[in-house]
Amino acid sequence: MKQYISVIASYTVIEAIRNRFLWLLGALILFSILISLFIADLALIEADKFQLSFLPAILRIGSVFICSLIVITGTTRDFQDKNHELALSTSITRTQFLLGKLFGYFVISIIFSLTVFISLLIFSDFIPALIWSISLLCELFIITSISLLFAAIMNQVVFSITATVCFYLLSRLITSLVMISNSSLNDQDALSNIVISWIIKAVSYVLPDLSLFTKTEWITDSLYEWNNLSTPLIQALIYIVLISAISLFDFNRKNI
Amino acid sequence: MSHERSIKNIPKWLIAFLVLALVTQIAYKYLSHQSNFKFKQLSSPLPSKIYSLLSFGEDRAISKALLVQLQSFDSQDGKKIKYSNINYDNIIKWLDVYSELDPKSEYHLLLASQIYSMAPERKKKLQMLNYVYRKFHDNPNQYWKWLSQSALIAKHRLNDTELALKFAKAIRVHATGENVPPWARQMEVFLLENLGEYRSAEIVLGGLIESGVIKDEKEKIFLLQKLSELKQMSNSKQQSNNKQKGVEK
Repeated sequence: MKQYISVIASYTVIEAIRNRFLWLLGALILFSILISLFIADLALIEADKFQLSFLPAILRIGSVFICSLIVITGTTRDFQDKNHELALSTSITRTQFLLGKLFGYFVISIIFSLTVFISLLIFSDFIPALIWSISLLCELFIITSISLLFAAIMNQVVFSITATVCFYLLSRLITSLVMISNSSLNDQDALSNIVISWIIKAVSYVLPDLSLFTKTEWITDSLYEWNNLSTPLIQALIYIVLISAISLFDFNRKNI
Repeated sequence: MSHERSIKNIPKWLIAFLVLALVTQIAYKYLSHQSNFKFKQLSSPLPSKIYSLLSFGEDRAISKALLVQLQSFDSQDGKKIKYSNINYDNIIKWLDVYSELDPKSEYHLLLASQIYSMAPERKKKLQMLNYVYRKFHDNPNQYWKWLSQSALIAKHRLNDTELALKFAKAIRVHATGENVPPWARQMEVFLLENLGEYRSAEIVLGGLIESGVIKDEKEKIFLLQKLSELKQMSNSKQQSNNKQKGVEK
């Protein structure tokens, strides 16, 4: 079983490399560094803090966006070119195929995180950059899993990207939304407020709280602890398992 | 041929695994909400230009989003936070950012005068009332109502008639638009009368009538009557003071 998964994973990585994702990664790093140097140049004081405030934020958003695009376009192309049918016509099972694709994209996420970590070391200390990069890796694992799920279900690039972006934004904002819905200034007895509050709370239980991941203040204000990684690691582990299970469930239902 | 196979074709272990993963996720989120609550203090905002940039120029939209988040700050993790615990200096900074992003709105003055002034500490109440006083001068003819409410709060909740007088005087002097109702312009006079400062009230009211701001004839008649009452009160107070001085001699 492991052999099939590793073969599919390696072919996934090779495909991404042939699609020049390394060039894209390099462009992201270069762009982020140049923008942060430009902004630091505009600052009258605390130029290094200006730089450190923008660089991680741009790298985080860029990495999430590019990783999700790689997963969605690659998976959608596989389904539309019927590559999955070709693979499944051999002795590879559906579970092995999907897990192989997932692990292949995880390897791409690891390459992203590692490159970002190295580029952060130019401007930041080792430990905060390491903690931040590990958290970014957890975030990329979650986004990769969810992108694969949406791509497998929808088989359309535009719909899948839209769904992934909505998921990401909602996960980043869910804590604020829960806080707003519980505000004491709202009419707490109104049925509409109660229903909305319950719905938001229910949604918050099934979404990962990405606002606790990859915080820029770990680098800029040196507010880092190794404890900061406990939430990203545990949540990423649980969520990857959950999304993988949903993906497998859906994939097993497809009539191929 | 159907695009999907029946659920019966799904391996049982996969269905069990899915249910287990979902339960684990929900349990994890539930337990992390139950963990030791740590109060998060209100941070200082970024300059308004940064928010404008981040919102791609949608200043109004981001101003509303920021304000909604600010007014919800007293509810963290389902727990109500007392205003006493929140940094009021930062609240003022957030309200300033909001007013820069949406200059025509009055929401920040509502929050300052009606919501955040409810803090039990006198110092925090004063901070909010002084904030309203400061912002009043940006647009007196629009913001007079918030300053008049602040004057009432100063008089009745803080028992600080001097502060209430200061606010009422600012309304009389600066809020000269036609939309400003008579009672707001006259507030200073009634506060002085309340203090027993009949002579001062007489002077202020006389000045108000002389200034030509009063356009309504009925209002003029009412104020002239009031002026003569104040003169009588002022004279009788002066006489009683003179008698007392005579007795003391």
